[in-house]
Amino acid sequence: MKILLLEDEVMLSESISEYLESQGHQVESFFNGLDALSAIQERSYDLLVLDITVPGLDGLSFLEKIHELKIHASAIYISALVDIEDSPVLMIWDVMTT
Amino acid sequence: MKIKSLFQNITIKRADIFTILVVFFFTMVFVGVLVEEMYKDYERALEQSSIAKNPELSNSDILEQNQKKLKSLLIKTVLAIITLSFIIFAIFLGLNTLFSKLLQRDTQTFLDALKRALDMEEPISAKNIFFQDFREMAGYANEMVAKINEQKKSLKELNFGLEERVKKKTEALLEINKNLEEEKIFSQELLKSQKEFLRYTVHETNTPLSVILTSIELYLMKNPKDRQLSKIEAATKNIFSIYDDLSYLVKKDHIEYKKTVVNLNNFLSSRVDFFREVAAFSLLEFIYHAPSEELHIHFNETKLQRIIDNTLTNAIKYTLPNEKVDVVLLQVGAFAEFVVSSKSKTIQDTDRVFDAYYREEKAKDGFGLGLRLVKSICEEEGVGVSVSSDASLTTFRYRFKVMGE
Repeated sequence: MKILLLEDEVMLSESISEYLESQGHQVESFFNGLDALSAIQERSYDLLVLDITVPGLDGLSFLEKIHELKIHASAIYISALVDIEDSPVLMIWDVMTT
Repeated sequence: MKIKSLFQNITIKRADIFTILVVFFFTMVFVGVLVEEMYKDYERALEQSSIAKNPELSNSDILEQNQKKLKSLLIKTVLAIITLSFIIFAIFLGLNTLFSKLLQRDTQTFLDALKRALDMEEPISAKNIFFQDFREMAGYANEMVAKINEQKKSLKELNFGLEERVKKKTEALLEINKNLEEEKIFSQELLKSQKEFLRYTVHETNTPLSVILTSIELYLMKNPKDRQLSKIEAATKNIFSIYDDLSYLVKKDHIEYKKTVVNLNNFLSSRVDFFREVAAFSLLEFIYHAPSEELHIHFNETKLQRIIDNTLTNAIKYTLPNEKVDVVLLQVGAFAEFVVSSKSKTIQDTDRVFDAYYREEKAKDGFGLGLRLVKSICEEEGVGVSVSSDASLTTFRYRFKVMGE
């Protein structure tokens, strides 16, 4: 599976990327929303793993943009924001460990 | 001079007596004059009667003369009495009118003076008052007015003092209020800052914790598990549990926790597995007794995890070393019971273990918040909860409504 990972925390990005790759997936990591937007217009991805608070273009706006561009892909949000129900970082952790 | 002095001190009673005396005096005078006149007439009648003894006159002539004289005498007497009565009446009327006028004048003078005394604090003057009674009343009235004025003055002073005191008290209260308001704002700011700090801490703790756990997991995928790494993992899981409590406390007031269908067997099993190694490092063994049938409940997973995790970590913290912790899931009628039992130091006050910041063993680490959080979730969601403890066993029991029952 070809995965786009948008996460500005380098260590977390590396951990997620390493785990996904260990599971046989191909991961492209981005630390900036605008870079990720450029990439998705050039290439297609099977899954988007998006942090919400990233520089350039945040994860939510990123998804709106690709929706406007009629690019379709499944997406998983990850965030440490405490205002969001069920902390997505833990959610992805659960996904990865089960 | 004496008469003037007499009239200066005259009272109504004295005036009445004076009137009576005058009337009596004049009556006596007129009676005296009348008696004298009648006496003279009698004398003359007698003299003429003696003349009548003149033999030249017959008896009938004398009798007729005497009758005429007596008739004349009677008329004079009656006239005199009537005249006397009129004179006495006139004198009485005159004096009565005079004293009435004086009484009326004194009353009006007194009332005017009293009004002035009350309005303008001017003492009543007895100079123009005729009757002594009114002069005495004026004296009493002056005393009374003086007292009233004095009381009015002291009342005014008191009122002024009171106003001043109220004013000062109001100013002091306003100052206190202002300080309280400032303190309230400060406290609110402090609380806000504390919340913000907690939110920030929770937010900032999440990523490194996730990195640690992910890295451990990745390391274990490539390398054999060693004791040091297992300890790191166990400690991290403990921190994660505390983090989850804090995260829940921060979020709970502004997040809607949606309920889903939860397979309680699987959920509980995964949480027991999560803490199994943590328990092992405390020389404890988790023994999970699952029911043969699957139990489903309609519950929010975050809340359920807080109940289970806090109960399990509590058991790890307080169970005596080298003991086992029995984690039991069973169906009791329409309910699923989640029971955690182990041998620990006896809980002295089982009713208080759910109170905030309550810890029986002060030597043990902890905030005393976990079970309080569990209790509040149980109250919100209608989960039955009970605790029993004795020297052999301490048991925490939760009752969830099973779906479809």
